[in-house]
Amino acid sequence: MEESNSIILIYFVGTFGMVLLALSIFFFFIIYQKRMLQKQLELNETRAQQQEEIIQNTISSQEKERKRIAQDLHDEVGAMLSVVKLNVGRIEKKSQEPNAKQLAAETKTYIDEVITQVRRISRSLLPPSLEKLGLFFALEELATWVNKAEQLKIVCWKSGEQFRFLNNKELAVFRIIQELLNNAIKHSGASTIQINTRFSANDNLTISVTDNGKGFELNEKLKTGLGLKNLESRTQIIGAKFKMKSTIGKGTTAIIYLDTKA
Amino acid sequence: MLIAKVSILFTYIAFIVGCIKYKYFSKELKIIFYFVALGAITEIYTTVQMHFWMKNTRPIGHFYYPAALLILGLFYLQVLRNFIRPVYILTIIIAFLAYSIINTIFIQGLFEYASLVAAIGGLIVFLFSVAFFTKIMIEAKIAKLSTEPLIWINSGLLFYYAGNFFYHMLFNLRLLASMEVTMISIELFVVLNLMFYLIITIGFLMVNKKNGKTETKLTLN
Repeated sequence: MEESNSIILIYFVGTFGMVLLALSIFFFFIIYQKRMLQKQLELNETRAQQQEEIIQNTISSQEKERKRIAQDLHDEVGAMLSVVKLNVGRIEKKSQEPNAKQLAAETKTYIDEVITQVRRISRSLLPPSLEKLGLFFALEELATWVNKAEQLKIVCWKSGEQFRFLNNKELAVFRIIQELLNNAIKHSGASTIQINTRFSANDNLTISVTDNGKGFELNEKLKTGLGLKNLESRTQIIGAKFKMKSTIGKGTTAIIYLDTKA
Repeated sequence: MLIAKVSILFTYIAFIVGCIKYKYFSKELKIIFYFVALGAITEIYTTVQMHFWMKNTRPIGHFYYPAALLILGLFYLQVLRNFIRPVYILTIIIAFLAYSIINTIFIQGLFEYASLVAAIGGLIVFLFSVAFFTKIMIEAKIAKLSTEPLIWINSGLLFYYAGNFFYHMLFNLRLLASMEVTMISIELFVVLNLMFYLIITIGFLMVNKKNGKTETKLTLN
């Protein structure tokens, strides 16, 4: 009888104990897993933040350097070249020998070209019209400079009343468009690039850059090309959205959308 | 016992759901399906046997429990292969199968309930399921546990074999001690069985095109 009772007791206590053990293991597993995932999430967020900070600092340093170089080019190199041009002009006037005159005239022409290139480089490093007149004017100026080379045609369209927003965001958007144009000029083989800028009443900005070039395989480029990933990073930093679509033989369109109030 | 009939019904439901979802199953889930199929076939055989020639269903246990552990052992061999060396799992399976043959021939005869085999087999599965949870904890790759079929199935195995360890171990002794307690324990066993196959059914239902084939990788998102 006693033996029977102990067997029954062992059975119930044992079963209860095993079920309790199983429940403990299960809940420990659930709680531990949640904590691990939470920690991983936090770690990923911290890494992403650090990455963003690094990119921002890099971009900020780049822009400071560009500004410095642009100013030096304009103020010093540009000024010196103007002086050199004047002196060569005087030599041309005062020269008696026809060979010397011709040489001086040729030199003046080369200096003119150098001055133009220095100005172009200086503007592309930091367009003066961006800060003074705003994004659209800077884009128009950029288009004008590129069109002078007569490689292709850039057309700028605007809808809505232009509004100004933070300098660093305007510059960031300008750089993105600049990069898109550089890519199109280098790789697309396009004859026309259209830049459409829409300034909405609720301070939203939408810019699309469309070319009629040969297009490319977008997924392949995303895997191998750093350029597109850099563009995405730049847009993310200013809180903008970036979309790109391309069809082989039909060209490429890139769209940037920015809520300038955010 | 009505609950026993409902429990058997859930076995068949799990089998049917497994048949429907089979094409989405990964290797591991297919093995679990074979385990469920074994359960369903055993139920059918037991019913037919009881109806037509012998009411004593103890002999079938001497085949079912080793077969069940063999299948579940192969399942854990797949899911734990990057965590425990396969040779250890294979050794345990082979040792258990050898023991179950020895048990049937020399220790507990064919017409005695295979309590030792069932209990030891259950303990092995319990430990394997704990090992699997440990592996998942360490890897921390699964974002949403509730949608992962293998989590459901492993949880079912954990609770079922933990809850039935003493049921199997003390079955023969309990039978001698008290018929009343034996009947209560059988009801408890049947309830656990019902819940077990219900959890397996839920696990099978969680399988879709995306997660069925990637079960072995257990990737995030």
